[in-house]
Amino acid sequence: MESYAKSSATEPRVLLIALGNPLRGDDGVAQEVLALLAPRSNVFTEAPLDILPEMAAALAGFDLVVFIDADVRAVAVRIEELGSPDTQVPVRSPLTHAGDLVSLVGMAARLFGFSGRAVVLRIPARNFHLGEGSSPEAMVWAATAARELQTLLLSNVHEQSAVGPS
Amino acid sequence: MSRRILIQPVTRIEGHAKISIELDDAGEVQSARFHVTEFRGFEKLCEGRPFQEMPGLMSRVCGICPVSHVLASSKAGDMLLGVRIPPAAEKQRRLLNYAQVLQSHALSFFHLSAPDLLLGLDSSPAERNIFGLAKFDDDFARRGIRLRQFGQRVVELAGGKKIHPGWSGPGGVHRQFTIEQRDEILGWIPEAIASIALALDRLKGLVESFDMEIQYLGNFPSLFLGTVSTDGGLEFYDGRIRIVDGGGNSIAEGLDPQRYFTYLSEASEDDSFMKSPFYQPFGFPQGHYRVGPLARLNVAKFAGTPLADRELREFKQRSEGPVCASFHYHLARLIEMLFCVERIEELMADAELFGENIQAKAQLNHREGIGSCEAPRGTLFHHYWVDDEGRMIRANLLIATAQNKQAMNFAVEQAARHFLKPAADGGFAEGNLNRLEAAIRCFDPCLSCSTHALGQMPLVVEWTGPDGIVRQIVRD
Repeated sequence: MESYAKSSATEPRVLLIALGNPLRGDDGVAQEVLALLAPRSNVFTEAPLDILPEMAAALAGFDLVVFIDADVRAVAVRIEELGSPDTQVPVRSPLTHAGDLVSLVGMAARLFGFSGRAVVLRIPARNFHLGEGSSPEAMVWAATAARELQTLLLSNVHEQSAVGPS
Repeated sequence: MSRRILIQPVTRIEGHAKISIELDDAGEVQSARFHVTEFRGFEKLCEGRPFQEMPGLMSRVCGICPVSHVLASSKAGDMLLGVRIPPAAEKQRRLLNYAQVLQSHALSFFHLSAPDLLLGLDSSPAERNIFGLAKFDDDFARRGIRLRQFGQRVVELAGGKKIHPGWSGPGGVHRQFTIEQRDEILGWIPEAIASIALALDRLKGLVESFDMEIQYLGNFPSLFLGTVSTDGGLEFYDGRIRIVDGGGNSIAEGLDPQRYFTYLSEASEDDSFMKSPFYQPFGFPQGHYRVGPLARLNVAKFAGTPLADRELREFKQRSEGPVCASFHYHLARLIEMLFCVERIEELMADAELFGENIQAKAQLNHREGIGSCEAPRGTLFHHYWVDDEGRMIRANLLIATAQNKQAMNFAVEQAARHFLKPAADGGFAEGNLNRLEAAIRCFDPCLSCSTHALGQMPLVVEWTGPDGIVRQIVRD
């Protein structure tokens, strides 16, 4: 997540981060969503197994960051805002060494000047057993998620256009 | 009434573990143990697989130090083939190992231990993490993140991806290193050196305030084991094993890593899935030893790069013999980071790194192969046995963290005996419980973390009476 080509100055720069391990069944469903999207010059993608602290540095410079993640608790595809750049509260135990998205986005804002919008697109998933490929149920949700994502990207373009080029 | 305190899981280490502490009727610490409660069985699951697959399989042992496992596995494969790999391949492997040690140490120091060191072991648990560190000193936190980012970027550039890179295998590596990659890496060097120098200054300035922790978080004489170059210098990829004792006496010199089984053995214990290696001539448990940054600096006579050599000379002045305080693993880690960046810079100027010949081709020539290298946490050995078709019959992995297991037990017990004094209400100060964990974090144990973890991993302290009934559970 180091160097990205410049996109048009009038288009928002978007980073899609598909979290999950494709060798663990539905955990890789986020990558299935990426595969369903048509490439765009202003949209960059990453597919890490998990969130890493150094991602905070990579978020800077993007207008919109979308984390896509399989979620065992979700019952439908949903998009959640990840709070304002001032959000500071880790949602998990402060003693754990597991990371969380809110902290990551907060750190990106505090340390690397990220001032864009960050959301997480949660996809219902149930099968996290060893093995490649997502379940048929997860693939149906992946298609829904891809449509939601397209809508989000389009709406973000419109919002950006309304306030002029950044 | 005697009591048992259980800290499970230990936080800010890589993997799952617990600490149990037995108190006597007077509330004094009777014993303390560090247990590893996860089991992954990689040695078993690789049986029957072609040895050429082993580097890819073995890299999955760990998400933090996959390069070490790829390297040890590739070197075991080199031995099975009976080849000496081309210089370009060896230098690429060295480059990746330096980068991996750098990123792993950066994670350990800046993300996992710096909150304790800069904010204080008694500071609020809500702030005592990388996020709290960012609020306390944003420049320091930013530098830590970027330092790890640099190490990861080098791994990604040369190895194809940050985690589980598959660029190396038996006989060499799979792709040529390029000028473009060199140029990007060189661009990071000044910042990396400045960040490590800053961290070194900060830590050295804080050392006096941790006088008690230096004394009681695992300060004891032990054997130290590590790889050194033929002339006794700090060496991470290929060399000979040297062992010194706590008094600085040389116990063994010039040991061949490929003959590790002639001088190291492994004991199994009932309370942990982690094996306990020991130095054979001394027996178990007397033959326990420490590995990793502190051990490497104790066995090395010099570093071999200007800045690291200067720091190493100063480091060695902290003790007449080897530095025995486990707290100084942190300092040793920073010195090794400096060494790695300097070595990476040297390699960028080495024309052999860019060579086209990166593979030594051969058929299977031997039935047994052993590979070793210095992983971030210490010396790593992979030992494979194959059949006539090259299928794996058996594997033995001697992991660095396991070699520190006895030392971690001693460290926890020493910390518990000194810091764990019950308050008037019978409880224990949170900061002192944190000191037990900090004793473990000195070693930066990696209990395997490549799985995509689900759920939280909170700290749980469980006090159990002599009748086995849980009297109190404290959750963070």
